[in-house]
Amino acid sequence: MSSLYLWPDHPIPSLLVLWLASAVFLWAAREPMLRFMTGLQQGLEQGFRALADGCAAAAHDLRERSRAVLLAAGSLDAQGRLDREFHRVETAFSERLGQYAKLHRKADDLLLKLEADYQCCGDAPPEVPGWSTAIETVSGIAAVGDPNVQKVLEGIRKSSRDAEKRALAAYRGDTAMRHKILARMAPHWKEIRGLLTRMTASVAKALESSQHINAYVEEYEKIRGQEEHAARALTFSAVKLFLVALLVLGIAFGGAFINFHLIALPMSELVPAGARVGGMPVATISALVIVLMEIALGIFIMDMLGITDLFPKLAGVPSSRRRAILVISLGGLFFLATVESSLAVLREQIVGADAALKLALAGAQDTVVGQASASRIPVVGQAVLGFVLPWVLALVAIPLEMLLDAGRHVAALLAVGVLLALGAVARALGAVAGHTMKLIRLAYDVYIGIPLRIERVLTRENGRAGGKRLSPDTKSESEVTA
Amino acid sequence: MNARCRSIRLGALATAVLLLGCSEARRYDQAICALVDVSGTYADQKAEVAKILKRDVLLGMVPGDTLIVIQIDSESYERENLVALMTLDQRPSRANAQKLALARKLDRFASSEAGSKYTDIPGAMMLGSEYLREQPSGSRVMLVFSDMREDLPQGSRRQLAETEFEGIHVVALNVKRLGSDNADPQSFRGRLVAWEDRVRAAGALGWRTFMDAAKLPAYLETLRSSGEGAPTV
Repeated sequence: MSSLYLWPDHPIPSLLVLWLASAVFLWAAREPMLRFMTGLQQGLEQGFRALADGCAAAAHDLRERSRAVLLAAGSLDAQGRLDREFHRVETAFSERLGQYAKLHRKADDLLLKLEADYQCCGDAPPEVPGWSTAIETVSGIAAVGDPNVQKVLEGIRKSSRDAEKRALAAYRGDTAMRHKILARMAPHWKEIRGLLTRMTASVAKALESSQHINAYVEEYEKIRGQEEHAARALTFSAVKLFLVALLVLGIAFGGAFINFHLIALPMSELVPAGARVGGMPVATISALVIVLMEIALGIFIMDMLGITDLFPKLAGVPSSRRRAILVISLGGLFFLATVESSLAVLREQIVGADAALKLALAGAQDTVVGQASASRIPVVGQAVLGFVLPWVLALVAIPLEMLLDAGRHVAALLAVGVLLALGAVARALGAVAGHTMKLIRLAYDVYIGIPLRIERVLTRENGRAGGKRLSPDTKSESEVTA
Repeated sequence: MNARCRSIRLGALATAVLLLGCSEARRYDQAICALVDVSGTYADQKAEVAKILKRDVLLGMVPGDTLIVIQIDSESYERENLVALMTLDQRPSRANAQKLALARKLDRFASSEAGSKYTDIPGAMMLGSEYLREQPSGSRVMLVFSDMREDLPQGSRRQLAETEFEGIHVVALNVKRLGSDNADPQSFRGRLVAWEDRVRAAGALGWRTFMDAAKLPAYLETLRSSGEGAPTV
């Protein structure tokens, strides 16, 4: 500052002269300066406003696009669910209806049997010979003294009694038979009741499916109608899915980390331990590759099983080839799981050998070195873990697909939020810039207040003397107002 | 167990081939040459040197590393002075067995009665640098266990070439202070400075002295990571 002084020993006169010179200069340059500041203010305000508008428009576009994608995804999802439900209904109906013909035939057969049995059960009295009345009349004739007649009558009476007995026996036999037939009918009735119950269950299931379909159709209609609450529900669902997938993937990452450390050390026995790629030992990279291969195989398996759809092209592959890919993937995963299990066992041996070596090089006695843990539990545990973890990792495909599906909606939401925040900040900055420029203009006028006042007085006097003339101050004010 | 290991190895072979196929040209293996003074004034330190070599050098070596042990005596520039030369196998289990064998060898060396009247340090350095230059390792280090007082027999001439230690880091360890050093510490310090000048003049990548040998593993690891001194092919 002191370097600016005209007379370094006299700062106050120096400052006064400096202020005077600057005030005169700024007074002379007031008009262009005010124009410059106004332009700057307008530029800043317009720039920030344009930025805010741009952000808002971009956020709106993005939100609309995201909404459209979300609704399309929701619509597809609802369609898929409807398709699945229809397929289930179709399967159930075709199955039930296929069974219905059989059921019907069975019921018919049973009813026919029952009818026949019923007819058999008819209470038919034993057939009485036509001449029985005659015999009874004849046998009722009073015996005369003739022994021959008496003998004949006795014979008739006896035959009549025998016929009665036979008829009674036949009647009893028929009744017993009827009881037997009736007893045989009971299981048929039960069977018919069972068939009716099954039919009732089928009808109830069909009704339940139709209710599901109704609900899905309603949801689908809402989505098709682009209803706001449907979109909100879908957004919430996407965020929820994203968080759940993130959590599950985090847990899976922990599993992969354990898996990786389980095989990283023993891999050094299988690949050249000294070699490195990018400063990282090849053994470590190999272990990482194995873990990633397990995840990749898991993705293929889940796609082939139809649980995920990460490779849409594979959906069009014929089922025989799909089955082949599934078998190959399962085989590969089984092989890797076995390899990992063996490596886990090897790891325990290496760890033991390393510990023994360290003790030996540190000068410990052989007896101490030999006192390693004799328990087999760690080895077995590591082997089991090495076998199970690859299968668990294979399931990562499911949350991964969920994360990818829901991630784009969440990313769009975040981007919309960021754009809106940016727009708000730009708007605020525009307002601050406008006010700041106004303040600077005022400060400028304050700084050159004395020359300005003199000029105003002189102008007023000139105005009185030579007519009205617009003062520069008034002009600038009008410009500012404009 | 062997059959299973073989099958695992086969399974990992594809991965290894892939990875090795794209492995970088830079090497991370290390060649270490330890020069151990057995002359009269330093003979009592043999056990300590063996202990340091086992604890701070051998333990930190990884598959592919090389360790050369040369003794400093009256005529050090002789092949007979080579006590041990060993490159660790790429398989850690075999490397561990090699380490154990070398540790036993060092123990035997420590308990031997080897001694000498004179101290031919430059001769051992020249021999060590020749062995080190043969190694295609990523970094090369020469460890000198001595009192650093050169005492050549009459008629011996040792002239270090300008490129004698090219690509080699030289480290003086466990440097014993002699009786005269106690009387005048400056002579000890001057001796070390003179050696530093001499070693640097012979093209060494660096010169370090460690009073505490426990700091050696970290230093060796730094050299391994930096890859300084890798041979230019």
